[in-house]
Amino acid sequence: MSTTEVRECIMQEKNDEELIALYNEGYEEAFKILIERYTDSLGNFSRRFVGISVIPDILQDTFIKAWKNIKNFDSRKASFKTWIFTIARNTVTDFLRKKKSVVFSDLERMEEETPFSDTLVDDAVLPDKVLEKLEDTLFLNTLLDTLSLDYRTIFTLHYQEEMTFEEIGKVLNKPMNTVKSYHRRALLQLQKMVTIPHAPEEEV
Amino acid sequence: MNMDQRLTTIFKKDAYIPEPDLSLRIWDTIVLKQRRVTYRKRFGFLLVSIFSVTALVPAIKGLANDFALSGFGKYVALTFSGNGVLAHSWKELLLSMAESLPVMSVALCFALLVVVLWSLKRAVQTTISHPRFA
Repeated sequence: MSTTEVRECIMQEKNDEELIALYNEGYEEAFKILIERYTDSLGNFSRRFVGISVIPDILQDTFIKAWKNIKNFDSRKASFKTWIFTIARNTVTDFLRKKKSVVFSDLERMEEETPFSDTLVDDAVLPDKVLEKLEDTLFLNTLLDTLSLDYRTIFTLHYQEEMTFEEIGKVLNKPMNTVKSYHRRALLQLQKMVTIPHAPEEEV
Repeated sequence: MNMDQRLTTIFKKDAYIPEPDLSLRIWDTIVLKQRRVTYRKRFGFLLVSIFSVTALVPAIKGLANDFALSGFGKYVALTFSGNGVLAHSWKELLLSMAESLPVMSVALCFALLVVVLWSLKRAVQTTISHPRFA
């Protein structure tokens, strides 16, 4: 085992913030560990928005952006996980904009949510029948494709990455209550689409 | 199992499996980029060092020339002559020395020296801060 391999083994035990500190001290392998640690979860996240063939490019762009800006990372403001997912989301959004599959007005409309939605309580619960139908992966993916970027981001981060609403709020740069109300609306929209398959998409 | 747990299971069921060497390829791309940045920086700093050393040579010659013409050396010699000039009229002597000092040439040489040392320091720092990429 070489010295580099031994060092990498030791680094595997470190948490994200410790690895960044080590990278900043000159241990380049620390960033390699971070790439290995987040490739799967960022890939899983990206696939909800883009085709599988594009994922390696999205991941590469994400990690390069993170590497270029690692000096700006502040662990007091957010965790590395939140930070890297924010970068990934921005990379995906940029990609979709370039591909013109998302119009600007669609993104802007999400920004202009009415403030009263912030006070809604997260009480939406999907019935068992709906959940059973969602177990069909292909069906779920088709439904997710029809949801807005923010809704999809919330679903993916909450259920796939098991992030809290507060963490998702940091990724989306929105208050926690707004994220909760988006989540509630997304669940209702999902339920509506499952129970009435040909219903038109709710205006977001 | 509640709704949250069921949805978590559903979402995790269809996991994306990346190519086995994807992480390594991304890392290699970053290493390549870092190496390019390091080379470029080091080359830039060395270029600045060379230019400033080249400029320093005529600047030092000019400084020596200015010192010779200004009479600064004579005032210095007078200071150490030991005939009591320093004790009697030290104020005048200091003022004359200050007036005869070729300020512009001194400043130019000093500035060039600082640039040489700074650029060499940065060139070395760039190399040792990322030894793997250097």
